[in-house]
Order: sequence, then C-alpha cells, then structure tokens
Amino acid sequence: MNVPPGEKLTRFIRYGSHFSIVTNRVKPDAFLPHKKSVDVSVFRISGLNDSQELSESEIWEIGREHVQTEDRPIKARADLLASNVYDSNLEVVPDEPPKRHANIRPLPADNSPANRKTRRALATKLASLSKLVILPEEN
Amino acid sequence: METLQTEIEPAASSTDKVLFRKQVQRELDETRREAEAAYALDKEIDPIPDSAYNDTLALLEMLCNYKLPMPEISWAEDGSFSIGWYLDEGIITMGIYGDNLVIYTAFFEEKRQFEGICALSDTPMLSGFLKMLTNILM
Repeated sequence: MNVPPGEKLTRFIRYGSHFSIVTNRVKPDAFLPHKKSVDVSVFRISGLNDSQELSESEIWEIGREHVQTEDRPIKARADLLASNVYDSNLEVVPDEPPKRHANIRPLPADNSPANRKTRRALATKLASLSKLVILPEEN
Repeated sequence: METLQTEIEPAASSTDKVLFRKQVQRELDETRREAEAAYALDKEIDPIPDSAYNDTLALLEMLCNYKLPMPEISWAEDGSFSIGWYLDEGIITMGIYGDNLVIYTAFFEEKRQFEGICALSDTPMLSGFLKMLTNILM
C-alpha cells in the first residue's frame, strides 16, 4: 500500500553541492541517484498511525542513524509532500526496514538520452517543490 | 562559437567575461573535487568522466558570451555536472554527462516547464536555448 498523499517526506542531503545556501533552494542533483537506481530514498516524517508529529530533532536523528556515515555527515534535507510525488506520476512505496523508510519510484532507467532527460525533469520538479531545511549548528 | 557571439546582443564585456570565466572555472574545480571525494567513499556513485568536465568547460565558455547571471555548478550521483540558476519562481539547469549532449530542464509552475536535449556542437539549437535563457533571467 502506497504512502498517503498527505504525508510529509524528507530526503536527507549529504553534499554541499546538492543545495544552495545563497538561494535557499534544493538542487535537482539531490534527487538524481546513481544510474542503475530507479528509486529515490526518502523517510516519512509525518505522524504515523495516530502517533504525534515528529519533532525537528527526531527527524534529524533519523538521518543520523540511517543515512549519515562517519565520512559523510548529513548537511540538510529536502522536505516535500507525497502529493507532489504523485502529481509527478511517481509513487511513494514504503520500504522498511528501517522504520519510516520509503522509495520514490520508478524513475526511468538511465539507459538512453531520452530517459535521462525524463529523470532530470522529474528531479527538477521534485527539487522545485521541496523545502530546504539546513542542519542547525547545534546538531 | 563565433556564431553565438554575433547572434546575441549585447554581448558581455571583456572584463565581465574574464571575471565570469575565472569564477565558473573555480566553482567547477571545487565541484569536481567534491564529486571525486564522494566517489572515493562510495563506489555505487557513478564517476564523472573527464569528458563531462571538458564539455562543461566548453559550455561555460559559451555562456561567457551572454549577459547571464552567474550560474551555480553542481554534480549528481549519476555522473553528471549541472549548470543551474535557482530563482524564487523556478529552476533552470543544464546537465552534462560527457557524451557531447546538453540536457536542459526548466520548471517554474505546473504549466510552465520545458526540457530538451541538444548536441554541444549544435550551435544554432544551443544558441536558441541560450537566447531564451537570457530572456528569462535578465
């Protein structure tokens, strides 16, 4: 069963090149996985099953636990609504464990210039509809 | 290249071009270093080929001839560089993978988006896109 359209999702960002502090924008690069992947990994950050909304610190904790590595700390995240994904003719499919993990899919396989163009168009749309949240310094 | 220079008026001044060229070269080199460091830690990431670096430099050289705002340069895990402009109302990027193609994408609103592919060597088509870009950004 797919993630409901009203849920909030986040994509954790580990590279400075994938967002712009100057313009406070997420770049499409944040939504372009390696060529073989048709999935974009995200986490569900709404309250699930009547549980309370996650606090900011709880959201960052998910990133630290499941995305961050010693060499590649998380730097920011791209928050968006699942409805933005469905509007792009993509799906959000739960993919646990870990808890709250899901995939935006399916991007077309990167096996032709036409598919590559489609991947980039989808990534640009998702980035454009995302809200950039930069990791606070105290984290 | 000459065609591009003569088709767009007004062209950037020589001083503007020098500053533009220096800044984008520095940013491209920094971006390349970040991409190489990421690849060294994660081999699932597609490495960015030297040809992508060279194609990006060639495209940036073309952009020097236009009075465009300074773009931001970035990389992605699919082995590409991007040259982009991030506006309040939307995003415009050109993706370069080192295969002599430029994939351009713009997203403003639901009803204002476009994308396309052209060869880096297809000067008339690229010129058309850059003209449109100039109109949007300036």
